[in-house]
Amino acid sequence: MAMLVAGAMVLSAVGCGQNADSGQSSGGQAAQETETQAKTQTDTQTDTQTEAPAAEEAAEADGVAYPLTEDVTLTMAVVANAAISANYPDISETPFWKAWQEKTGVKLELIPVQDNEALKLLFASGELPDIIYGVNLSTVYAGGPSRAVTDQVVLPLNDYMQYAPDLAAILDSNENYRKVITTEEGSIIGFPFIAEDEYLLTSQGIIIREDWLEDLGMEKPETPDELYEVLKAFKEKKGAEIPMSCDAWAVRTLLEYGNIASGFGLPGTRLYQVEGTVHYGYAEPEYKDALAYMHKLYEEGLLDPNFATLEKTTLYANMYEGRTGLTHGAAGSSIGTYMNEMKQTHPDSPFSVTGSPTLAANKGERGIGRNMIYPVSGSVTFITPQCKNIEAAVKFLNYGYTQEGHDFFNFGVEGESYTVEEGKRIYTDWITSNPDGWTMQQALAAYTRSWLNGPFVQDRGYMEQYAALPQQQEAINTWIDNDGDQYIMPPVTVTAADNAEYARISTEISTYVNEMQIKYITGAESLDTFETDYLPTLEALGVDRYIELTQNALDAFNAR
Amino acid sequence: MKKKSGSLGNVLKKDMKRYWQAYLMVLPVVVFYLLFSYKPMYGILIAFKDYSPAAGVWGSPWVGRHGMQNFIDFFGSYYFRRILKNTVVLSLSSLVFGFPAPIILALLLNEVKNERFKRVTQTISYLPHFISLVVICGMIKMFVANTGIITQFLGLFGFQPTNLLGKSQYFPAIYVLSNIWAGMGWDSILYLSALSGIDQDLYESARIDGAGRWQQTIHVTLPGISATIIIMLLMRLGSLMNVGYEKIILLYNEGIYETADVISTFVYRYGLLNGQWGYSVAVGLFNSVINFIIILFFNRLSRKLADVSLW
Amino acid sequence: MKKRNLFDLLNTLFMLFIIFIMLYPFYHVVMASFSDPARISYYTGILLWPLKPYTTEAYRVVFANPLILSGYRNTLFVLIVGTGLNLIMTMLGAYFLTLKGPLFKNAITFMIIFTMYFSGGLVPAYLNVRDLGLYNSLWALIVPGVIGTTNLIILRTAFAGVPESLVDSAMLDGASHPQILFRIIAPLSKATLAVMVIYYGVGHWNSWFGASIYLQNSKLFPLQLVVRNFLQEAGSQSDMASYAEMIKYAMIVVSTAPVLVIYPFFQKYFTKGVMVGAIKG
Repeated sequence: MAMLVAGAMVLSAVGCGQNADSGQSSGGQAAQETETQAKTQTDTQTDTQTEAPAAEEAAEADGVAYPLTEDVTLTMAVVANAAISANYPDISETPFWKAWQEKTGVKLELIPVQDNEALKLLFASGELPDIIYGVNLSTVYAGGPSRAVTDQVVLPLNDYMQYAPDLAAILDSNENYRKVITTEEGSIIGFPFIAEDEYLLTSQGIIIREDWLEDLGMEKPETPDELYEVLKAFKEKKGAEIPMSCDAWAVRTLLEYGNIASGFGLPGTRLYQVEGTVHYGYAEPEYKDALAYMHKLYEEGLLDPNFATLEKTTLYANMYEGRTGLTHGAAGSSIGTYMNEMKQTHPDSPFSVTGSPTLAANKGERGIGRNMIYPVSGSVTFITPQCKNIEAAVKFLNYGYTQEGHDFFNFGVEGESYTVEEGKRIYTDWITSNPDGWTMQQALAAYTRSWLNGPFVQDRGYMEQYAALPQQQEAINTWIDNDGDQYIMPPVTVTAADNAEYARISTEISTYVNEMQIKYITGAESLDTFETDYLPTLEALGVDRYIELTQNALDAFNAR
Repeated sequence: MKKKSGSLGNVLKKDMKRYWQAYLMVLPVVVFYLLFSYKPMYGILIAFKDYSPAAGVWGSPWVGRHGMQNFIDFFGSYYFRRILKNTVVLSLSSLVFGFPAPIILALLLNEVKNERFKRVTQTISYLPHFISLVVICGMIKMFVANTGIITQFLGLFGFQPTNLLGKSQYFPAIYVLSNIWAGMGWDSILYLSALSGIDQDLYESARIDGAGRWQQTIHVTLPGISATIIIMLLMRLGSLMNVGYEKIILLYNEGIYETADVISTFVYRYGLLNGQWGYSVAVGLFNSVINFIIILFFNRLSRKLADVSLW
Repeated sequence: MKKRNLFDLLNTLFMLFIIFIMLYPFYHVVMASFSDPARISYYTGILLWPLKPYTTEAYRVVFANPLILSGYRNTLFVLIVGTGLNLIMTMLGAYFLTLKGPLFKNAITFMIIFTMYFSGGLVPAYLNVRDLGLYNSLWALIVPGVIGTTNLIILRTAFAGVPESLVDSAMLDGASHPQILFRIIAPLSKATLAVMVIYYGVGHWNSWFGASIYLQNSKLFPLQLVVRNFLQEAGSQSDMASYAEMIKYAMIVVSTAPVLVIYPFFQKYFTKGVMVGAIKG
């Protein structure tokens, strides 16, 4: 039957891919995780802006009154998420979507989209709903936001800001917010997802078995050498067959965001900036040292020999069975999962994991890498030009930026998913320990969007309650205790004119560096070729032009 | 001139009169192909265009260099030679090793005398086909991991246990062998059905002529299923440059792109994953054209040599 | 005579080997689905029996998913209705291609073969399904693929194998084309038609890609799409974290077991079909 498939394949009859390619788009991760992952691919994007039209800002009027009195029905595409579909096969039955309609008086016709691939097809079809919920245009639309505007997929909001006074107020509060959602050509592309608090911006890093460290009388490793010693001790004294278990994506992230690379003086292998100058870590000489180190870990059986093909389920098993003592992950979904699961299945185990710091070159120095997202991620909820009632749609999406909407998006419905105690919004037991055995994320998914994204400002109270274990809080505090934030690139996008070239170069380069990274680590390719083959190939693929285009975009971004 | 067209009209009339039932029967088939294959075929134009959904396929602007920009980019790409080479290597080795496997299995099954055992074996032999590809690939990954059963088995012969899918040199073997494993029993169905169609008298007379089992196979069995074999081979050749992406994207990882990345996976990544429709359709079109040329060639060859052809 | 026995012995051994390599992986999965999750992921040997302590937890999680049942229902619908239509359409097409006389035969043949190599690709196909009003309907999984060109060619080859004399004499007796196809050619090609049923049927059973782009309502999802989504998500659902590996196995078993139970029975008819073909052919 192979033939049938082969015969039918032909042309671009490309299919949607299982989890194959990255597996990283898998839904149910904590908000920041998703964001950061999306950004890994988006680093490549830039965004410059011109003067944001200040004209509309005057029209703040006296706010929008909810519920709207007008009888409106809007269609909205929503990418399906495992955390919801697990309990609500029909997403329109989710309490969140019902309540949003009640509170705003707008009737929604929800169009579930199965995954990003299906979304791309929807865009390509040219037949769009009124609104697309919470997507990162840089990742889901080839050519990014600028192109999406010229392709008439996105309706610029510039002429309609008077209907979104609450959003306008927030954009005015921080100049960077407006920059991120404004394209090079000056179009405001949509309703952003904003996380103001530093605590919300970093949710990932190195995770370590602290109970083992304690047993061994060791400290959390702060330099590459210390990390090596710790892994060796895990292997020899704790019987961990795979002291460090990570999948290919996690290994790459540890280097891209510098958690490990920082130990070699590299803020990360991704695009980063030093006081306004763009660097591409994959082309920096320090990267070679980091690779040599990773190769050593691999050679000595300290790093997972299967990392290139590792699946999450195996990683979990490694963790629970004490085969591994160090990995990469998020405070909410990784540490929380590990701790809860072990508490349930092995209540007597001393098992405890928490965050371990970004490495520094020398003891006592501060690390320079951080797994951090920009306060305004590229993720926007936007209106399409095919929307019939733009005014109502804008007012509807403005809701999340009102005080009432803020509470709703972050905490859900008062009395059902949260209560107010001493001015603080506290999730109910239904959320934190769900009677039906749902995870906290699934319960949150029923009532809120704080765990994902959307048109609102994320509240610190969410993360404090979601990652409530002391280990989780310690992890986040450990992960932000470095200078990595100075090197973060804002989500910038290149001009429409350079877009095609930029997209082509960045795809080819990222394919190449990802491939070579695995080869250098496994030793399939000798590091001797780093200068003789690797760097020249990067050059041939246009890395200089890549950096140049990114630099232009950053300059324009900063010039505002 | 006039006379000729008149006769053409006559011929048409006669044809319709004689075959109207047949045409009526094939009508739904033709409608199906027009509606679901030819109507969407304008999409090929995307290969020459800078596709913009709002403008549609027709309205989108042509790309540079007389619409050939996507092709020029592809031929100049760093990955062009590699994916071409990988496609040919995987395809040829699948053909050389994979094509005879079901035929051999069918022939051997045919020699099993115990009907029950034969049937049970055959039934079991296509079991993998009922398991979805996602699952099959999951199992393959599991079995060739450094602790996997296949790796451990190879370890008995002094092989250093390592994750086989982590090393690019093993990928072609894993791909081809697992293809054979999963498809052999299934593909043998057709040959077995062809085998059952061979006139038993032919065997009888061969036996009378003193032919042994081996000679019967050579002189009766193989000729008896040769039409099926040739048709299957032709179809296989026609998709020589077509290595499906589904299985590969489930198995590969970036570390082994060197041997695992083929045209279809490349098309898949650029199209559905990156949304660069024009580029991806162009690469796919290039692939189709090559396949079409190959099949034209082999079809003619086969018609000449064996009087069997696809059309 | 000795040589022959040796061959039979080797052949039998070979068949046993085939049985083993085809059966074992699935057996492994079944055993693994009942095993102790703690021990299974790094178990290296051959698994003859579930690793203790046994558990059925994974199955509890799988059956708690409401989509499994609707998935079965949808798949069954597509399987039965789809395969029926597949068969009729393919027969009609294949019959025409075996005729020698019609003026447009070659044109139509080429038109059909051409589609094996060129197609408009995904985006126009998607638009087409939308335009025809098939979007978000199970018919989108049936109609666009109602004829598999490869199958059409295979069936044509089989039809062409029916002795011409039979067709000719029926013609002389005044039989119409539909009569020739359904009364004479089809019964003589039972074996290949059985193969068609299996080919199309299994195709429907295993397919999920069309569903993933043409369907929105998850209540319409066929089983394989449910399985696929489930397998993808198993790793990210923390309530199943330590059972994630088991759940994968259980899902495989649940989605595959029905076919495994049914297809040997089908095989009986199928073999019968082959036999009928053999006697008549």
